[in-house]
Amino acid sequence: MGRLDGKVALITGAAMGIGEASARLFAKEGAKVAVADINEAKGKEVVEDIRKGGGEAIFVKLDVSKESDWTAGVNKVVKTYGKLNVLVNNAGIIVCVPFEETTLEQWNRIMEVNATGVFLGVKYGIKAMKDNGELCSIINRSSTAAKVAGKNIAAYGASKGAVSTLTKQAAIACCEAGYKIRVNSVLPCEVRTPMAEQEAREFGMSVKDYLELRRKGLPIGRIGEPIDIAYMDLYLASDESSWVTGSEFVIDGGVLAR
Amino acid sequence: MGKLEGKVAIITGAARGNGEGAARVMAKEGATTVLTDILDQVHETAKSICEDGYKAVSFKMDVTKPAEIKDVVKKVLAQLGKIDILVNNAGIVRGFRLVDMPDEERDRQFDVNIKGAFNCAKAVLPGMIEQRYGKIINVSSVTGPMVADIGHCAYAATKAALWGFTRALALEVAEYGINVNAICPGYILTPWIKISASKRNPANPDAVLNQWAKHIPMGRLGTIEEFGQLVAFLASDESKYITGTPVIIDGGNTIPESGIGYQEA
Repeated sequence: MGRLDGKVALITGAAMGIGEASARLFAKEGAKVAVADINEAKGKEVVEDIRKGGGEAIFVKLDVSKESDWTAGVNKVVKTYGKLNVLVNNAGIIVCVPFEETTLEQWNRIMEVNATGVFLGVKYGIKAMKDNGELCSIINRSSTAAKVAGKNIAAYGASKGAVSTLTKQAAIACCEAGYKIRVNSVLPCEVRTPMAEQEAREFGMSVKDYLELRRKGLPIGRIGEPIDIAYMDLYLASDESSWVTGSEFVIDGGVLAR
Repeated sequence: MGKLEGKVAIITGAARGNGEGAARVMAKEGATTVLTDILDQVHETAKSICEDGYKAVSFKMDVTKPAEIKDVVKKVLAQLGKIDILVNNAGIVRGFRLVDMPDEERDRQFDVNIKGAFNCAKAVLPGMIEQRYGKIINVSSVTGPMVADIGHCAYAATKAALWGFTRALALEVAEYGINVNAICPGYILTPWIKISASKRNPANPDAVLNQWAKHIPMGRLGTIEEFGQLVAFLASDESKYITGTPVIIDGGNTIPESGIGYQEA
């Protein structure tokens, strides 16, 4: 028996990286999965793969910064599978530039996707979940950058700080309204993803050298893999975590302990 | 297949309450559980886990006595061959305002809650280091690191101390493949919580429990099973990239500005 049997999950940014790992794991654990992304080709590949493995999935084209994409995307999921139980607001972008060189356009774009995108997701997620009578869970992808400063990621860090705080507001709002919706945030650090590859490019390094440099800073001595974060999402998506809400889950190989 | 298949887990304070919840869920997930406690009841709890079809053994053990811990660790290693998981759950709380607190009360809470965790970790670590594998889970609390109550000067201090202990130990043993994390529970429906409700209102302890539940955003106290699920997650390889981290499970209790303000708003 799967740990997410009978649940319908929507995961944003699920074509690649951590979102993809969560989509695959959720499907394996019995959830019907909506793979949401702006990258249609890669997203559909993930869907095909899940189906080949005997899982259930659909692709949803969704730019998290566009309100109309959320209404249409959530509608599609509810129309296809009848309900929504789990939402993983995973989609996010980064730009690595020195603080003083960060342009307003860069700041706005990061905020639009990472912070506004999560706000819209939570809003339309709650709307879709609140009356289905079942236990529901929203998982927001924050980052250790919400807690500590990193080099050249001012906008990114600020956007993730917004995600952590928004998560607590949403958790309490759901409790106050009597909804069976839990809202938590997950704060990864140093994971082998396409985003890490982009960071390497922006720092002018090879991916190998960049990851090796980052690895050296990790007490645990290895870079995290997307599946490490996917398992955290799985715990929070399942009813195993039925008394957990408003909490932050740091998965960072020990970075914040130091 | 359970996520702790083939693992050996020691849980302190496992006769009842959170420790029992941790043992039950871990056993269900396939671990051979070693229940320890100062209470005789620990044997009945282990027996009941076995009757459910899972693996459990039990020992009477006082976490403040290193010789007793050493003896249990020796016996477990002889019987089961290894120790993969330690859950430092044993803890006590007794409320006194600082001005009224006897020094012996302060010392007793420090001895059990913080020194007990030191003692047990120290006893199991040589084996974990040798096998290059281990999981240590320290049961802290939201009381101390996040919030506090009147009368909890000693308790809150010990539970906050467990955060620092967790971080430092995590860094010391990361290179050996050992993860060290802390769980911070809020109000869980344990025998201890029921006793303290009875003390406040002997005629109607349920009224007290209901009032506490009302102050928790999720509207109810947690169950020992829910606590156990989080322990099992941190004890499993699903969480192998998590170390040095405190994790809160409290039904949202520490999020609002204050319990009272939240109620009145």
